[in-house]
Amino acid sequence: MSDSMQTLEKHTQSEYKYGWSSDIEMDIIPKGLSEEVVRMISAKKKEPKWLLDWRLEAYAKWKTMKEPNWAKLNIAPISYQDIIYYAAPKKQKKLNSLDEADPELLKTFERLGIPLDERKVLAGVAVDAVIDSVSVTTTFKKKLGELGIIFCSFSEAVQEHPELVREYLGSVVPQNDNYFAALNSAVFSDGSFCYIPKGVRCPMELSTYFRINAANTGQFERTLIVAEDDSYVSYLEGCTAPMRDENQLHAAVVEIYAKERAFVKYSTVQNWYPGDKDGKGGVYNFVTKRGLCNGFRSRISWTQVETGSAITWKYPSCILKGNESIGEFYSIAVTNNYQQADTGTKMIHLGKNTKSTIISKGISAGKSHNTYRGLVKIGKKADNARNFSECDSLLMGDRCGAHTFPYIEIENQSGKVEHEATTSKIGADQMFYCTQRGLSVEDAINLIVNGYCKEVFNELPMEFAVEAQKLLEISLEGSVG
Amino acid sequence: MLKIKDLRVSVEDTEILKGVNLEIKPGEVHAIMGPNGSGKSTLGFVLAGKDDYEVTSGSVEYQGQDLLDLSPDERARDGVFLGFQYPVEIPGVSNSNFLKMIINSIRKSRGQEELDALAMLKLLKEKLASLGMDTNMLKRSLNDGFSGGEKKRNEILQMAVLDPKLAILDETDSGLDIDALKVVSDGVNSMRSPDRSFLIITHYQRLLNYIVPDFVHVLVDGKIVKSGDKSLALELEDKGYDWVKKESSEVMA
Amino acid sequence: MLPKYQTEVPQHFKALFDQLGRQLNGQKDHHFQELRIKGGKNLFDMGFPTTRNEDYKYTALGRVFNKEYQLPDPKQPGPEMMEELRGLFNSEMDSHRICFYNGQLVSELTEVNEKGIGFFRLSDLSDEDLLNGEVLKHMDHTLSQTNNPFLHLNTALCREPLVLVVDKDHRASKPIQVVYHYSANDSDLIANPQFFVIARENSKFSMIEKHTSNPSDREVAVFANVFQRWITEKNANVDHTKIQELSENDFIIHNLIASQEAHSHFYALTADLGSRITRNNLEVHLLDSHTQTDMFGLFIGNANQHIDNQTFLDHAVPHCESREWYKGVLSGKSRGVFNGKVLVRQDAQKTNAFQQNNTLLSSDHARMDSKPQLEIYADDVKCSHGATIGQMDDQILFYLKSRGLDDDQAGELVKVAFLAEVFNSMDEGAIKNTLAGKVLDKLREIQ
Repeated sequence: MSDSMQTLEKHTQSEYKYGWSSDIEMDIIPKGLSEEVVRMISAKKKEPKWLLDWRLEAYAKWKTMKEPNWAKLNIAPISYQDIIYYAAPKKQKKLNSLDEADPELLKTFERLGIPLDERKVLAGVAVDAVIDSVSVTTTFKKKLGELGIIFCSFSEAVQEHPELVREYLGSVVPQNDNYFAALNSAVFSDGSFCYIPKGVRCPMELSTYFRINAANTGQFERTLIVAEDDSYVSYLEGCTAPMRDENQLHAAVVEIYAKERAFVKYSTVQNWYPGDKDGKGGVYNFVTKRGLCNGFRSRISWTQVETGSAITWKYPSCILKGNESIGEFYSIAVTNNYQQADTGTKMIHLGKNTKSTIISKGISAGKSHNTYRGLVKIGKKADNARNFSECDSLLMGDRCGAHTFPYIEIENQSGKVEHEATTSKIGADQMFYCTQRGLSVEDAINLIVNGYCKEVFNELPMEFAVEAQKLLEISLEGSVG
Repeated sequence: MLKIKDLRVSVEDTEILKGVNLEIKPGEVHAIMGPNGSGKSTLGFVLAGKDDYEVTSGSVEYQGQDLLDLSPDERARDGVFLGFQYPVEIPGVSNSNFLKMIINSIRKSRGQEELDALAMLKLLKEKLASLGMDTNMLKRSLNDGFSGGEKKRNEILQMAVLDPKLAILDETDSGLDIDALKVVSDGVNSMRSPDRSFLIITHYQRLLNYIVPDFVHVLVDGKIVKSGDKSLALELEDKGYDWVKKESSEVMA
Repeated sequence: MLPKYQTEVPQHFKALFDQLGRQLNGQKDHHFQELRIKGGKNLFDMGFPTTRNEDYKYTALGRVFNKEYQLPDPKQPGPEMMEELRGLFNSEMDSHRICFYNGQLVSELTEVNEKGIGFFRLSDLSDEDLLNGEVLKHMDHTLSQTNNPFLHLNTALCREPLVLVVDKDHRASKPIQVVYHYSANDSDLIANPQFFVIARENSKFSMIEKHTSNPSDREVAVFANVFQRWITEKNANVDHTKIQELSENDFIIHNLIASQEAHSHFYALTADLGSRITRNNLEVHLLDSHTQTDMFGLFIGNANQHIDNQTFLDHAVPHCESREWYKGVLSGKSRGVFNGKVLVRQDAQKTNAFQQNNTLLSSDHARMDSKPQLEIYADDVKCSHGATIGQMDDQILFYLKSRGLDDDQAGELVKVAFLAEVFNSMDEGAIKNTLAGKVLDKLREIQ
């Protein structure tokens, strides 16, 4: 058993010690992975046969694949037979009041400035009732329905809109795309489905924030977004508060399918449990995210703020197939203590006059390692393709690492690709200037780091940006020696 | 207000200041003049607490306490302001956000209430207008892409809102055209008061036409070799630094 | 531990290794033979890389490995070839001369006569000679540390390593001109020159190295697998320019490993204008502080040329500065690869590293793969890298044409301007002029 599994076990055991075990109701299947388990998951979700077959096909492919061995990541081996592949829906422990919640967790919420009601949700107090009142889906379902927008859980979509799911599932990320995508395809528990009809501009931001939290389906979720011609949607994902995720392995898949002139904006603030100060525990966040710009002028924009997880491995990508389509990637990745992040993007230019922009800001502190790994590829037929990449790294402390591995593959002479990267620490001059104006060292660092990340924050919806900034500060707390 | 006694300072084992003595009383305006490399900027940095400057001997007393004991931000909160010769650019940090942060940080340390958004905007607009600055510059990144003149005005703006007790202005006139020089000087003059002192570091006499000092000191090779009133500045303008250098070496000899 | 590559070394390489062993038997028993045998063993254990190996991702070498090469004839070239070789030296340059024919020293054309500069065959040094021990020790160490199979191949098939030593405090009076010429006539030829260069404390010199081969109206190919090991001691200042102009069916793998002691300056300029497949493995290891490293590169490809530059700069110590700038123009169906890695280790505080790769694509079928890498473990550093790939700016071309230049003139001007940073890094003089002339010729040829 790996260290992180042991920590998780200890964590769970300590909860039992407080006598909450009787409150926990779980619908779980035995640990381990087999064809039987895949069938069981599908059966529990009352899925149609085509989906079961699809899962089984993925499982068969997964079995033949090898776990990747990354050069820059140091990973304790994962025992796939020790994982429980179906533990949802697991009801939250019901606490009578906030006083019973983990005080450390509450302190963090307080610093985040999350309203009290939301704090209750996050801490697991009276979840059912509060969830309903804040759930975007529930609150605005009627309004969205009038526009023809479908926004629901993946399981619901399978039941209600099987034709849509069947058409697009796996169309952007094939079952055997990579080891973890294959695993996800076999055992995904739930996730979200979103469909924006032709010509519709989704009037509000759609968020998966609370639903995933409530259902505790975080381990193998699957998101599928389909945007028809001339549609627009801004989609938010993740948890903006620290949470103790019980799953060691988080292997999600996100697929975006954008048609002519459709614009999908996907924002993530990822703050899974990063493990403790000594590097024990934490989530392995191995996520496959990809968007297909399949029409003329379709556009997909990824924005991510990654502060959590013990190990992050994700490359939200764009396949720019339609002529004049646009791909964007804005990223902030913060690592502290023993965290490892290997993240970046792939921009595959296939259509003519396609454009992509990559802005990546890495911040490493403590003993962490932060790697930008990206691919810009301009295919033979992608005339006049353009890419601009800027990948900056900030180092805080002399025990951490910052690495930049861009791959640039150009097969068309009319392409134009520019990549720039810098690595440095916070300038002594900037620090002196700020402290000379009366700011404390800590405030000065926060100010400068926030300024450094500005270009990415600007891409986030306002409220999200504010919380992301606070998260950043919390993540870096204590990193200044 | 400020008593500097036999201050010796080294940077990477090279002695820059070789025994500086200076006393500034409340309300006084002192000018430090000197040729390039004489140690003028070093004096400003040491008073503001910049790293890399090693005080090898001497003392600096500020309002009765040992200034050298304090960190840069403590000095700032105690009223020491340094106007930089080369203001630092901080991309991504908006000027207004920075001003808000520093104002409230200083107010907090003085036991004053933090200003709310409205009061803050009012204060900033008022000060901007008095310095002939456009409100647009609040939205821009701190000093990022500012012209030389804009940067210097921004320094004076910060000084104005922070209300310091001892303002050290390092070559504030460099890079300014006559109009800007006048605006900046007006800003400084309007802040002159019986309980605020200024230390103006400059290479040229021209700034001193606008900000008339009570005392002028000439710093040559890390030492104040001559002190006098404003007429000394004019004399320097006339005869150049070689004159004092020569005179001082004769005195030494 | 040695890495394992995917492809086994083809049998004919083994045959060559055995053949050379037999030829050398009966010659003076020298310690280098131990090293040679070790190199062979390592090579056959390791195998050759394929494109599945990250460092060879963009360069398939199957075409190189599959030929059945012959070893060069150990005899000195005949009078006709002597004349030809003599003509390859730039006679306008006042210089020392070193000549290699098919990877073997041509003593008649080699003139290094300056007090303070020593030039030796390793086999001519006696076993007791300190220099002999020093060279062997370095070679052994380098070979035991490397995962580059071509160093082992070179050692396994090298007849006699050469050694150049510039003495302590010696400032060379003139540059050293090195001509490597290859000629394949009836069969494919493999050449494995090995050259050990030591710049002693506080010495200074510059070297210009040229690689050429006989014209390509032949079926057979040359495979030059060059290995140079440079030691720059304290405060030494060396300047190395390589110009490669092999014929269009030949292959070259040029391996250079340099190490630098405190306050030394190593300047390397790699210019590739010829060959079918070029692979440069340039590695610099910084052993002590306050060094300056310059790695400049220039490549111009057309037709089916494939030019791959791999560089590795190991910042292991604090207070060092490095600049790396590779620029290329690709036309026809040529392919370029740049894979530059700058490693800044934890102790290497105050490192200042700059890395840049710019490529101009001037045809529909040219292709460039660039991978500038920074791997940084120290925080008080200033490192930056960049890469651009694109075609000539239409507006600039239009501007030039509106001033009366024709297409070719305008294109040439833009390309020359594009390569300016590389030329600007060179000292004025014969070496720069030589390179500029050749680059201009090649640019005109590809238009």
